[in-house]
Amino acid sequence: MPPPSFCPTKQSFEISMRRPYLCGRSQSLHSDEASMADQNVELSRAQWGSRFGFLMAMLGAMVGAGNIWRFPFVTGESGGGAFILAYFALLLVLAIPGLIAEVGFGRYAGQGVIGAFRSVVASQGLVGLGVVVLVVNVALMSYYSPVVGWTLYYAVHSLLGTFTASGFAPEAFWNAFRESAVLSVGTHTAVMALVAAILYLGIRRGVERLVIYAVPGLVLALVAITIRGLTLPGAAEGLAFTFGVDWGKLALGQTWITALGQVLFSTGLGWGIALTVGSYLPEYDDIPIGGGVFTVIGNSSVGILAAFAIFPIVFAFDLDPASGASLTFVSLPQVFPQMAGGLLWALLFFVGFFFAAFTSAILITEVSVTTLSEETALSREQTVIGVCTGIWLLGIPSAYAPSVLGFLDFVFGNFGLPLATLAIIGAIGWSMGPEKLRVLEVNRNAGIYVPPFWNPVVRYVIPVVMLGIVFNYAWANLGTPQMIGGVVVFVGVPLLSYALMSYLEGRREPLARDEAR
Amino acid sequence: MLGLSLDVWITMLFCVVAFFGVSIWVLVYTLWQEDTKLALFKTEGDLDTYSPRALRDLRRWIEIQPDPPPPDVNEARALYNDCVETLKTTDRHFYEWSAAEIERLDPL
Repeated sequence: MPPPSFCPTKQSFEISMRRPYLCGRSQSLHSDEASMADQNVELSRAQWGSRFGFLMAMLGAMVGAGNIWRFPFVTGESGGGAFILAYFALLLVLAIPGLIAEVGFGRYAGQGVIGAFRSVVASQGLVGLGVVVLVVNVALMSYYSPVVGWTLYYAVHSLLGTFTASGFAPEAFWNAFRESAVLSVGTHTAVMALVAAILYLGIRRGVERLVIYAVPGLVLALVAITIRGLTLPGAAEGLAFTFGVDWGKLALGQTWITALGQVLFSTGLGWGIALTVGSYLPEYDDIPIGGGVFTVIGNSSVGILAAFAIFPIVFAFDLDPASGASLTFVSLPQVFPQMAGGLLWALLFFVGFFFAAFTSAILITEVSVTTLSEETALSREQTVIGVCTGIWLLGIPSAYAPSVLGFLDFVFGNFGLPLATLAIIGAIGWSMGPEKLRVLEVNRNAGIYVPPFWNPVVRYVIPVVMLGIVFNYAWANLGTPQMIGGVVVFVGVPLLSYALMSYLEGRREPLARDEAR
Repeated sequence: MLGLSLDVWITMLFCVVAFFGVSIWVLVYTLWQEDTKLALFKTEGDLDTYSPRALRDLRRWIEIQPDPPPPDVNEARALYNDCVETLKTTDRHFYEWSAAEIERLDPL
C-alpha cells in the first residue's frame, strides 16, 4: 500500500497557500498580476499522489526494452564482472548526479521542457533548447511505438497460448508479423491508442495508477523466470557468460565507451523525462534518493535481473546470445514449449516485457503532452489527442519499413538523445548554475545531503562525456548516410529551434504585456 | 559449486548486494522517510526543510549574491527564514538538529 502524499492533503495544501513561493517558482519574475495568475496555475497543477507512484514512474520510464534484450549481452561481451564494475562506477559518477540535476530542474521550474528552459536561459532564442528536447522525444516515440507494438503482439499471443500450441514455428511467426503491414501498423496504432487512453486520464488517475502495478509486475515476472531459469540444466553456462570476469577488458577504452553508452542511454539521462516527472513532484518530497539513487540503481537492477532470468535459458537451450531482438522474438518462443509450464513462462515473460516497453512509452509521450498543454491554449485532453495522433502519423513509416526504424534509431539514438542531454544539462550547468539548483532545490527536503563536488560533475564532466560519445559515434561512422543524418539533426535542430523561439518569444512578450494590462 | 568459478560467484554476489540490495534498501528507506515526514506534519504542523549542512550552504549562497539581489535570492531568503522559524517553533525535527545549533540560527 503506497504511503499517503503530502501535497494532496488538506494540511499541506494549506501550507502551500501560506508559503506560495514554494509552489510557484516563476512568480517573482513577473508582475504582481501575472504572479497571482501563475500561483493559481501552479496550485492547480497535478502532482504525484504518492511517493511510491513517483518512484515507479521514474523506474517505469527508464526501464525499457534495452534492459532486457541488450544489457545482459553487452555485459557478457564486454568483460562480465569487469564491465559491471566499470558500469557501476560510471553510474555513481555520472548517472546519479545527472538525474538528480534533471529532476531538481523539473521541480524548480514546475513546468514542462520549454517552460523550464524559459525559467533559466538568458535569451529568447535559447528557449529553443526546450524545442530540441521536444523534437527528440517525438522522434524517439515515433519509432519506439512500433517496437512496443511488437511486445504487445507477443503479449497478446502469449495470453492466447500461441507459443505453446503444436506446430508453432517461431521464425515464420515473426517473419509473417514483420512482413504484414496491417499487423505492424495495427499494433503501432493500438499502442498509441493505449498511450492516449492512459495519458487522457491524467498524471494520477492514468500514469500513476498504471506504473504502480506495471513496474512491480515486471519485476515479479522476471523474478519468477529467474527462479525457473536457474533451475534448468546448463543454466550455469549463462551465468558464466554474463558474470565471468575478464579483467583485461577493463584496460580497453572500448569497454569504458560501451559502459558509458549503456549508462547514459539506459538511464534516460537528459531526455526530458526526469524533468517532466520531477515537475509533478510535491515540494516536501526528496529528490536525490528517489530521482537519483533509486532510479539509477533500480533501473540497472532490472537489467541485472534480466541477465539472471534470460541468459541461463539462452545457454540451457543453446541459443545465440547475440541476436538481440530476434533472441526475444524468435529464439525464446522456441524454448517455452520445451519447458514444463511453458505457457505460464511465456505469459510472464512477454507481458512483463510489454510492461517494460509500454511504461517508457507513456512517460516519453508525457514529455510532449505536459509541455504542449502548457505552451498552447489546448487543454490536457486535447493535447493528448493531438500529440498521440501526431506521433502515430510520424510512426507509420517506421512501423511499415524496418529500414526507416533502423535509420531513425541510429540518428536519434546516437545523436538526438545526446543532444537533448547536452541541452538540459547545459542549461543547468551553464545558465542556471548547479550551485543554485543544489541549494534551492536538490538539498531541500532531501533524504541525503548532496555535497558541493556535485557541481563540477554537472557543469563539466557530463557535457564533456556526452560530446565525447557523439564524436566517437560520428568518427566510427564517418561519411555514412546515418552519420550525415545524425550531424544534420545535431546541428540543424538546435538552429531551427533557436530561430523559431526567437520569433515566437518575441511575439509572446507583447501579448503577455497586453494581457497584464 | 554448480561448476562456476570463484570470480563468477563474486560478481554475482556484488550484483546482488550493489544493485538488488541497494535498490530495495533505498526504496524502503525513502518510503520510511516519507512516513516520518507525514507523522511529523501531523504532530508538529510543519517540517524543517533543510539539514544543518544544507541550510549552511543555502545561507552561504544567499550571502555571496550581488546587490541588488536577483529574484531567486528573495525566494531563497524566504526558504531560509521559514526553515529557521520552523526549527524554533517545533519540538521534533526531521533532520538531526541539536538544540545548540537551532539556538545559533538567526533569520536573514
